[in-house]
Amino acid sequence: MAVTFWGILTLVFVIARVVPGNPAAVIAGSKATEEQIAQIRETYGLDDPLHEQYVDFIVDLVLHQDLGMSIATQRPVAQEIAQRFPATFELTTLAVVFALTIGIPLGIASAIHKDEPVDHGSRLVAISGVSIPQFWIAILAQLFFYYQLGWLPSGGRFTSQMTPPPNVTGLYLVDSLLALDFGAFVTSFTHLLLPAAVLSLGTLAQTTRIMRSSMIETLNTDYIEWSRAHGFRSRIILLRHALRNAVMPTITAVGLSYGLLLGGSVVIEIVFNIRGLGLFLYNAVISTDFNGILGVTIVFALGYLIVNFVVDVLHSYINPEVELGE
Amino acid sequence: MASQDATSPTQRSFTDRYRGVIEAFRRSFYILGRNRLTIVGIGMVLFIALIGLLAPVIAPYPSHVGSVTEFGQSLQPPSSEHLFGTDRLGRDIFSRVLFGARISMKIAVFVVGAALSIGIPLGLAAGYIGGRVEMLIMRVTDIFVSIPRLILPVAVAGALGPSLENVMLALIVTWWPWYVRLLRSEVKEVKESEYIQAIEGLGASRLRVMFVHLLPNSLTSLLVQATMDMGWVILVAASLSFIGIGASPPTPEWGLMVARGREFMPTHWWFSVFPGLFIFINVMGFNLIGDGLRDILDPKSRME
Repeated sequence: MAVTFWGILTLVFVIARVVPGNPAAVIAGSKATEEQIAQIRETYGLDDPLHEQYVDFIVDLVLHQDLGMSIATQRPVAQEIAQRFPATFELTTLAVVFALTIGIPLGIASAIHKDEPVDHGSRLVAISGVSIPQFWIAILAQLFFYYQLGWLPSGGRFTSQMTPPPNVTGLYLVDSLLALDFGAFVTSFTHLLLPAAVLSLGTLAQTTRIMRSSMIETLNTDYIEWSRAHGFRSRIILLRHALRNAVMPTITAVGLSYGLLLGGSVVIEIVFNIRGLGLFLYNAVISTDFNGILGVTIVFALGYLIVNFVVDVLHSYINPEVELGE
Repeated sequence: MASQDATSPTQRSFTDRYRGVIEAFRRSFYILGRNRLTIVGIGMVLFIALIGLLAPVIAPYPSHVGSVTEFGQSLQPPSSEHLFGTDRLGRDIFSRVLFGARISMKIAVFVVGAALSIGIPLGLAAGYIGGRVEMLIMRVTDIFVSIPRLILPVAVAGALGPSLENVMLALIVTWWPWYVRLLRSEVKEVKESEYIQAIEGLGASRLRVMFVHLLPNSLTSLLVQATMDMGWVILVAASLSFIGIGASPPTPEWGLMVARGREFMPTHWWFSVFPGLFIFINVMGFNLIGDGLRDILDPKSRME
């Protein structure tokens, strides 16, 4: 994992410092004078030899958690990221919760009623879920639930009429519960509902798909036949025996699709105006803020790496094959 | 797979040799006929390809692809004259959507093609040669794969500057490692099989074994993956244009059109809705085909 992370840092460094050819000119913009460009080269240490820049970049990041200054906001990128991380974390986590709570039952239903209308329906939902452009469905959802019905807010994390809960974790859902402020909890939940639901679509689709196929596979194994032959009730077989084995590939798939969620969070945060990492990345790209782009890319890659590491650990911890296989 | 047969293929007559293939085709068409969703998918992709090809002929206002301005016609709702309404500059959205199909298909074919041509040789080499070559290739691959698939192109395209060409480049950079992974694991599976050993024993060169014997074996899974990736690539490319680091105006790129239309929500809904719908149709088509292909090519589902 450490080697991969070092590789990511190197790749990101190459993207930022080598790929653009003349980063200073890009930062300065098209109207910049020669002096301005020279000034920027000076400030960001772009005149140093590339290998020195590289070492500086790694040392600053690893030892000081320093990602440089954001060119757009003139504040340290690390600080910006720390401030915006909770919003994205809350959004993606809720999306995972949605995906699992809907996807797993849907996948099971699909497996039990294989090749019946339920199965075809859930398959269609699954394929649509990965095919639909999230930015588009987000706009449609906004159009319908906000403009048309007026049920849910159009965006943001909280309403301006109320004060957000005192900052403990930065997660509004958690903070409002800690402060025992139920109204604030509901408010922040209604703000999150639509973005998280839209964001979960892709993961939901994959969860359903994997759950279906691994459930079908498990239901065809000998030990399930054995349980059936011994007269266990089908509900017990399903929940106690089959589900336990079938759920692991699903968790692995969710881990892998976490990248999808992080990527999707960029467009969702833009549409719903949530001040998280995705929106920061967007602003960084718009204003060619290289340090900002790098910082968020690194954090997203690290997050993705950690999630999949946790999934791996989980996998070896409750490896069902060892317990029930032969 | 027919090739698992250990007897030498030259001893048998032509029809005998290809009996398996012919039979497989028959079965495939049978499964295809049962699987209506796949046919729907093929229809969707053909539809998009066709409107892209015929766009200059069928578009009512071909000139509206460029930066024409017809202020009298600004933001008209859908009507018989403008099927999908008009945008802020009074351009016919229907015509622009038709031309958008060309961009979408071009990106899909070009990016997946280029990613395949990088990924295939590297994947074969990693799987077949093994050792240090494999370690080096897979290390590099792991790094690319561990950056989320929408974030890496954002970073690359962001660094290169906004343009459609840069988006394609960024997508190729993002996609090639996935084919390396796929091919390597496939190759590792059949590498030790008897028929490959037999070919090696006959003195075939490494290149020959890799490209003539190992590659065809993995073509089916590559085909499924590539088909689905076409959809993926279209989706990500459209997202990048939506974010503002892809196509620039007046290009009739669907993602860009949705982004423009968002500023005129909710009153002028057609501006965003129709281009987005076509992205959906295009991506859905490729995914349905990919899903169906997997069913057809997967021996497990073939037996049922």
